[in-house]
Amino acid sequence: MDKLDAARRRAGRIAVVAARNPVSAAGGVAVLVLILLALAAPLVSPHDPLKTDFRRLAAPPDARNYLGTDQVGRDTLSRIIYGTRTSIFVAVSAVLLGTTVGSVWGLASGYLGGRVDLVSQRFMEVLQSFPDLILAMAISMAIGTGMPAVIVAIAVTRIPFGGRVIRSVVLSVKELAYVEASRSTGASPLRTMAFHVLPQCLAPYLVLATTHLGVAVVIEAALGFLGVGVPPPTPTWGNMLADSLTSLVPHWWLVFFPGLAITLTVLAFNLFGDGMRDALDPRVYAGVVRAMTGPRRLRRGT
Amino acid sequence: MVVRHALPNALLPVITVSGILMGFVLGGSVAVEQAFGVPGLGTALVTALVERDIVVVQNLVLLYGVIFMLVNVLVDLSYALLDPRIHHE
Repeated sequence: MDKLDAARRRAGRIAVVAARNPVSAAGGVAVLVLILLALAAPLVSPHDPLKTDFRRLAAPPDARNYLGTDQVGRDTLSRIIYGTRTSIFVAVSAVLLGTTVGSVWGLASGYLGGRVDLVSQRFMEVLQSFPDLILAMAISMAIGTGMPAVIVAIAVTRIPFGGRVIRSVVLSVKELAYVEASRSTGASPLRTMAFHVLPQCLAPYLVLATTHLGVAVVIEAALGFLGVGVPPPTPTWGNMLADSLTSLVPHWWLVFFPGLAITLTVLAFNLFGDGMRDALDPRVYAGVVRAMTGPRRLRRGT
Repeated sequence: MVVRHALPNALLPVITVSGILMGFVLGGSVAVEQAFGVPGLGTALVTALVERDIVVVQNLVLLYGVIFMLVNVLVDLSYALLDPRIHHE
């Protein structure tokens, strides 16, 4: 009963936030739909995304293949739906990996200060001084091919953002009285960081992660388009765009629909990220962090 | 009056953002060069990547980094030009 009550209250809080910001809520719903689509790809897609049909090469959209077929007769709609899988999986795992590594690094760098901070910040500056896409291309080449390489490559380009943001939060939080109280009672730096500073970084972390999902989708698609992403038999939006250019005059449905999928996904993630920023900004609405993460997790400062 | 007093102040954030956007433009140019077959740095980089020619990739990535850094140095220097309160020692 108690649990049900808490869940209902949490749902209520999310509903309040959604009502205040309907555009972002629409973005959130779109993200949810995309995730469901990715999970249910085999059930939703009308054809096998890898099955070629040589009687229907580059067929325009019609009743049989709703979005047409590509040069070897594979169904575009099915390939886009399966491509959602790759895009979402790569983007989410890359952002989780990159932002988490960056945040933990930023936490240590900001809290410990001194020489650790100096060296860490210079390293982050090196990472930030290359354009994202070019850094991702170089890293994915250096560590090999396949999906894990792509994920790590995109994650590395996300590290400095996590590090910078969390470091600035830590620098302001560590001066607060309750953190000093923890230090003065003899708590080790590790304990203070984990129990008193880290919870304050949760909201910025969530905002950072969601806002960077859109960028990660774009980088993944660009890597696929340039031929250094997830390798070909796997249908991805970037690979589909690259394939469409192999014919002399590209067929419009092979360019338009994967491009549309990328655009809509990035738009959905960006709207959702903006909504998260509005919702999790403590000046706007403090209770939402608790609503998202459950009670007890977040300890309020002083 | 607008040009003389309002414009330089309004330009400051614009220049800051355009420095950051330069990173996106450099990255995006690689994809655009590939799409339209422009024989530029981006095409060279992609060709080297596909052929796994690591020395070429290293140097091109370094070159891109240097270009990006120079743009940001120019952005920083242009602050002093636009805002007389900012001085570079």
